[in-house]
Amino acid sequence: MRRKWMRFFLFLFLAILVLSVAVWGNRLAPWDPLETDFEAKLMPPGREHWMGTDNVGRDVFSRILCGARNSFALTFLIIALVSVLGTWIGMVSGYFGGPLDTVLMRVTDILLAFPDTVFAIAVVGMLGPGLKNTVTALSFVWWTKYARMARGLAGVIRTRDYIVQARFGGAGTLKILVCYVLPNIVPQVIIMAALDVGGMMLALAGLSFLGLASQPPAPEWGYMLYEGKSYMQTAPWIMIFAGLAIFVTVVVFNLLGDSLRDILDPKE
Amino acid sequence: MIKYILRRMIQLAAVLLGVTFLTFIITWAAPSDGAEMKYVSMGMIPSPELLEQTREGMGLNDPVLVQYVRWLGAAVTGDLGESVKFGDPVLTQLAKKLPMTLKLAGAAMAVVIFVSLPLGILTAVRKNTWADYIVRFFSFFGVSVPNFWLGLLLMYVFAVRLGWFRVVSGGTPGGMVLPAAALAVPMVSGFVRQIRAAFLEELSSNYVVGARARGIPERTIILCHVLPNAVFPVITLAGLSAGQLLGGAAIIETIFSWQGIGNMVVEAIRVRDYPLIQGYVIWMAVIYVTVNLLVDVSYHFLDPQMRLGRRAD
Repeated sequence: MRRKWMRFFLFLFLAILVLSVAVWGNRLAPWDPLETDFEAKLMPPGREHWMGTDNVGRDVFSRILCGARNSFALTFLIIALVSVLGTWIGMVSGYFGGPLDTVLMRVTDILLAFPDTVFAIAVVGMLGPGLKNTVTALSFVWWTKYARMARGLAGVIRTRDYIVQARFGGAGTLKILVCYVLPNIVPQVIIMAALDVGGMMLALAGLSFLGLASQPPAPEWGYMLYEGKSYMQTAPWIMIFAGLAIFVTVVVFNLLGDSLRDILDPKE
Repeated sequence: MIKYILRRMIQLAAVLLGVTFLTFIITWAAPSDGAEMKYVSMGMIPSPELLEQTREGMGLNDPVLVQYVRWLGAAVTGDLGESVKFGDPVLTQLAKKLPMTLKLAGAAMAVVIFVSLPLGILTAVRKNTWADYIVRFFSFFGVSVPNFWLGLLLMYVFAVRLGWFRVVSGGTPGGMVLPAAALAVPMVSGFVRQIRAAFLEELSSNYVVGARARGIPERTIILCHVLPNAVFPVITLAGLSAGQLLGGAAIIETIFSWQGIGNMVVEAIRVRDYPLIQGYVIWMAVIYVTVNLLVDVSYHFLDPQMRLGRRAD
């Protein structure tokens, strides 16, 4: 158990490290991430530009530092959105049961029939590329997972004695949901959300890699990869470092999610 | 058995009906519509009156439900409209591109199974030895690696630097190696974990202890007793990852210019070819759901307990 906590704190520390890069990336960056310099375009990594420069002479290292903020902000925004929304929808549905529950489950059945990347690509494709539509698309795809889990848990919890007693004690439905049902669902939601950070980041990067998500010239990792792809022959460092940034971040958050599950979930 | 399949087919039909409805609604909510696209594809900017007239003519001013029923009626007869970009009927276009994607996805799946099954068994049997640690270490990183980055790296190393493959795959078997690998590697990791877990669970069950007590060689136990039981989670996983495969293919195909359905849809998105995007989503959903139905049905053939109706589904 102590080793589990040690591991957890180690990964938490790493995650905070990555996060602080995202928060203070703008100040740490040695160059302006948007400043173009055609004299210095496609320069290989060197003393001046640690990770080289891209096709218009922007410093890749600075762009990665500043891009972190965009990637993180979006990832956390979507995770927060889907976990809160999904949990509430699922909880209400599982707690009340009946026709509402049936309808909801059929809706999730339909949504689960779409492979998630395919669906996200298609939704963004139809609504039009852009940040807002990317958030919409990914939220649309991911909330069902949380709803299903919350529904399952709420369905079990509602038959528990303490819920019956709370009702005898005169607690209203909203109070029961918020004070007695929700707290018993939240730990599972947190585990799921923590494990999803990495996956969400990949999904997001995948969409912006296809040129669907971000708005240039603002730096964003997936989009940097997309740009770097065209210069692979002459300037491979653009795509190597942008991908490395995604990879390292996803590794850290997957490790954190795993260790959090080890601590919170006695089943594993 | 037949009753079960029938019931599942009816469920499937209901889900697919929902799928078409949802897809239709999203297209309907899209910022530009068929009438506008028609003129844009001809390179014209229509006047508002003309646009309105065309909308009326195309029935785009009718209530959504009426439009949906009309569209669905055409869709069941195989008419999903015409692709704006390619000019073909959507179905023809899909049928042309789909085999390439299936080929790629099939190759990737084969790689996944052939690599992850031995590795999964190895890690379970040699639990907590260096072999286990090494495989788990790599499989952990495999889960976290973005497949498009892996695709680019593979391309850079093996096509650009070493020149073993061509940068543009061109649909040849040789050109399939890199995209299939890029698709397979992240999935292998997930499979190894699952197979390892399934094997460990089986290995700790009573029949294995019994077999060991009877002096049956370990290899026979693993291959003849445990493997057939542990294969079920693998089948389920294979079905579920069909979705991952189809989605991943969309991204990987654009990297390697593989002329499959994923590459096509990204092109379609660039020019807002709604009918084609619509057809793509629906077909992906159909394939995904059908694969998973087949997985469930295969249980009934493969698992004697299920065949006898002892295990509830």
